Amino acid sequence: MIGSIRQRLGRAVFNWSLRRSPRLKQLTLSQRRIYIMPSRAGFVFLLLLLVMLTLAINFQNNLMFAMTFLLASLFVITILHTYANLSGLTIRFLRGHACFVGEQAAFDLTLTARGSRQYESIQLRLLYGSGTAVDLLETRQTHVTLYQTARRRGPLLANALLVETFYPLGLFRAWTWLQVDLNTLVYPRPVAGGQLTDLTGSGAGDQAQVHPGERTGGEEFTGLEQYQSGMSLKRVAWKNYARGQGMHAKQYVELSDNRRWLSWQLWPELTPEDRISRLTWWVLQLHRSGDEYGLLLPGVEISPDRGEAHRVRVLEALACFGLNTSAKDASQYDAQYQTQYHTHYNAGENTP
Amino acid sequence: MKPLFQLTRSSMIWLLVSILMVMAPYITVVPVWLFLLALLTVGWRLMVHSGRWSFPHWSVRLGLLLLVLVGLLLELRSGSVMVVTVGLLVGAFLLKLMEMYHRRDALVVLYVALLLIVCSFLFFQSIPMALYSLLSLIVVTACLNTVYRSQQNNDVWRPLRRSALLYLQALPMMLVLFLIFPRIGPLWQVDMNTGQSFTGLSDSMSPGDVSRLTRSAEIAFRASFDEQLPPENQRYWRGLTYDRFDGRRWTRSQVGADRIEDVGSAPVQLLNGPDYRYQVTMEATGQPWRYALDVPLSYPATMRRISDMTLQGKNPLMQRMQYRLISRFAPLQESLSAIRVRDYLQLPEQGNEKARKLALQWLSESADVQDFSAKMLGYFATDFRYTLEPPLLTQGDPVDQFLFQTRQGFCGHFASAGVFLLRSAGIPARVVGGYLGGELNPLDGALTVRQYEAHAWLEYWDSDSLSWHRLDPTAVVAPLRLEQPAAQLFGTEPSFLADAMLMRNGFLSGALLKQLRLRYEAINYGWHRWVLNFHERQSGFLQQLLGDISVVKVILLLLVPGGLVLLAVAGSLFIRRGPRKDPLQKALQQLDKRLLPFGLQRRNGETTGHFFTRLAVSYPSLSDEFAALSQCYEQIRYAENANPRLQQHFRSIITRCCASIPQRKAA
Repeated sequence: MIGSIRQRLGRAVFNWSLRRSPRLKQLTLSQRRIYIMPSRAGFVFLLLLLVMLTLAINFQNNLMFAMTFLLASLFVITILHTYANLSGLTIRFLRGHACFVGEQAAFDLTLTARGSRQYESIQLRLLYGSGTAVDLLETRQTHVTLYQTARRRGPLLANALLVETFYPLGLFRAWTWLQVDLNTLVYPRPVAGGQLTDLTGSGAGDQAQVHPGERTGGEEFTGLEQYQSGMSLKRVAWKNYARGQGMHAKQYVELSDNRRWLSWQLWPELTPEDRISRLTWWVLQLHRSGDEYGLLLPGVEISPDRGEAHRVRVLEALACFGLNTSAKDASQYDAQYQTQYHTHYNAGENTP
Repeated sequence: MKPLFQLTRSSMIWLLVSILMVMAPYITVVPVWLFLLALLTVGWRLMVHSGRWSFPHWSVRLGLLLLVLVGLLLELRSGSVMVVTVGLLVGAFLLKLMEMYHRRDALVVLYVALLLIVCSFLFFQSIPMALYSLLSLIVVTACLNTVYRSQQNNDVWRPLRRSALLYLQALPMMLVLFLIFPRIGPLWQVDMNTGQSFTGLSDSMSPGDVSRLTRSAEIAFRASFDEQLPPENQRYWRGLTYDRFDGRRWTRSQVGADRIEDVGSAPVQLLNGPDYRYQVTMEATGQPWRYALDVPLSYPATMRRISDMTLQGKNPLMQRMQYRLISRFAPLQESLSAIRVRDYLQLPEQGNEKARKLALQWLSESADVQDFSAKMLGYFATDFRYTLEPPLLTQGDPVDQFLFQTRQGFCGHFASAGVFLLRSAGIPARVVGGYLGGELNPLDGALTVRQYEAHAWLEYWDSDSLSWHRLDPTAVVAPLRLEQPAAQLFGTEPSFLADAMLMRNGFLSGALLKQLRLRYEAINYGWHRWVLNFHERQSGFLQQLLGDISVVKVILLLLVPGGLVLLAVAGSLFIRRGPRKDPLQKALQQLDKRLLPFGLQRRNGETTGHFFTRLAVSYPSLSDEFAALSQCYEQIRYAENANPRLQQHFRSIITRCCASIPQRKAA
């Protein structure tokens, strides 16, 4: 009964505090956002004080009275210390890092102390994510990376951020839930499968659009060209460079059509999600081997190329394929908090 | 999530330290084998900590738990309940140490540690002990702090500083709470027996018993008088009277019988005499009686005055207590009933025939009771010696042996023989046990009465005037005993203060040391009166402070200082302190100020390097200094060299330059 009331109360506070917190790039914690309550250990401490007071009354022992009151005053003073350990802290949300489904999406933020104040043992945790504790003693600013499991492909908004502290004595818990303006893209989960031969030269009907014949980037060495920044380091003619002849890149000409097309049509027996997963796996394989590859999805076409930027472009296309959301659309994720909140809150309360 | 809740190694060390600190005072209280357990568990824990052993198997822990329980049950048969309860707490505390892995386990141990610190006040309440407990409290709190700090933080002393600061801030509010929290009576009856043993008078006395007390310099009680002190030879502190004699020992017939009657309400007939108002702080005796001068007229409601005009508490005194009395120095007028006359004439059927004969002889020669007592005192005055080491009275008739053979005794012998003689002559009489004297502490004007001032004398009832009279045979045998402190009188006797070597050897009686001792005792007395017995002074104190006590005033007294303290603490925590002014900038500004009259000050956007080169041109004599400054600045600013000596160097050169640059253009 009391548990359910507590739960409902906790959920109400949680929702309310989230509503009060618009998604911001940066904010400073103040009394408008910080909540403070005795922790479970704090309630036990109060019980202990009651026991001590009873002892003192029954034994008419004034030193017992004195110590009980000293501890009671300590309890009151701690409120201020715990609160001060959060207040004035500035949190700046920096960026999210892309990842694959099933991995931990990382989000970067910085904490900045106010003035010369010291902060100790501040715990940060994203909803459903893992926590970390930071100190701000000598340093005025610290960098924190928080992780959150990526469950589905597509744009991912960071969950609500819990900032809490039990410092200095664990008697009180000061905390706040913040909406975080951080997002990232989750690439599909790569699943191995299929043969290389499936891809070679085969492919899409509209291959004709791509110029056949000579293409730079083939396997046949034809000569050297002036190195320009951005060219792959694998192509640098290191021997010439060592001779002091300057930086040149080896030029290859592709004679056979070695371009791979990653096409939606390749494995018609798979479900759409499985196809995406397998295509993702091939993107990683081909990128590693340095091959050129292109992507053909219904409504999406990326011509063959190589390099990091290309890989990211292809993976982004795979991540967003078939989703009607753009990376900026957050409403769906907000709704998700509300429905999944119940299970979360209980799990989160296990902290003493 | 997990690493956040595991105990760090530094907090484990703090935990062991706090456990040892909390346990130390209990060495004298709880059974010794619990300390073996402490050594075992702390040792085992240290081995686990160093990675050599693993945690004990559950069967080992269960076995230890059973051993502790059985041991404590056995202890219960002999010891007091309170000791066993505390022992249980200590045992649980130590066993928990063996299975402590997480933050929550550490919390259990630390909370029990707090409880144990509180419980130690049941056994010890001296000033050093209170300070020690405060120190343990700070250490335990520091440990609590380490449990909640993150692992990166390795500063060993920071938790201790933090905890001391917290207590400093908590102190004012504690004082207010202590002053105004209403002291209500015990909620339920508790067993106050802490298993101590006491030095002091007991409820039976054989003549040699009192001299045993002179081996001890322990304090029996202290008294402070409102106005003047009674004269030295009148400081007879009555404790109890003995009225039954079995030939060897004196006992109290009234104890346990229905005879105890509260005569507090009955009118007491007293002759006029001086009244004394005073307060007594009595040490625990384990006995029901309380000490008072002569006839107590007014006394606390928790005591009863029984028919022999001594004060009795409801329970044996297991804790130091404080009470206020008004006593009158006057013979008590009382008409004894036949039953009580018979009681006060009680003697063994036979024995000590020579003494009886002597008494009858005196009776036939005396006109009245006064005359008889004068004869008796004259007899004692002739050829008796007052000594701490009287020969043992081994024969069947100890009174005869004392009166006619050994003739050496301590106050108990004289009182006992005196009452025997009086009763033999048909005069009702009783032996009184108590103390005579007291050392005046000039610093606070209080009398300190020690065990070696224990005394026995007698009282007889004069049927003509219907009143009780005090008679102290010691007064004629050793008149000095009444005039000077026992310490001077017995100083040369080997058994005097045999248990208190420091005082006996004159170590503490030298002038300076005596001064120190007196000062310590004065402080101690203040501690007893104002802290340990505050509950008895609280209402008076508050009335003095507030005038009439009202709820509003009490609430204001609580809220105003509490609010002020919280405000001050909050101020120190929250006031936005701007970044401290950079010492380098300050030094540069100082230089700028000097250069201003010459128009050479640093321009906006000018680098320090450029600035110093420009100055070197203007002041060629200082070019070396400016070069050094430039280099120094770059070291600190850009190479981030944090050496504080570099900063000092920089400032000293600036000061030198400032001194060299002339004050004014003209000069």
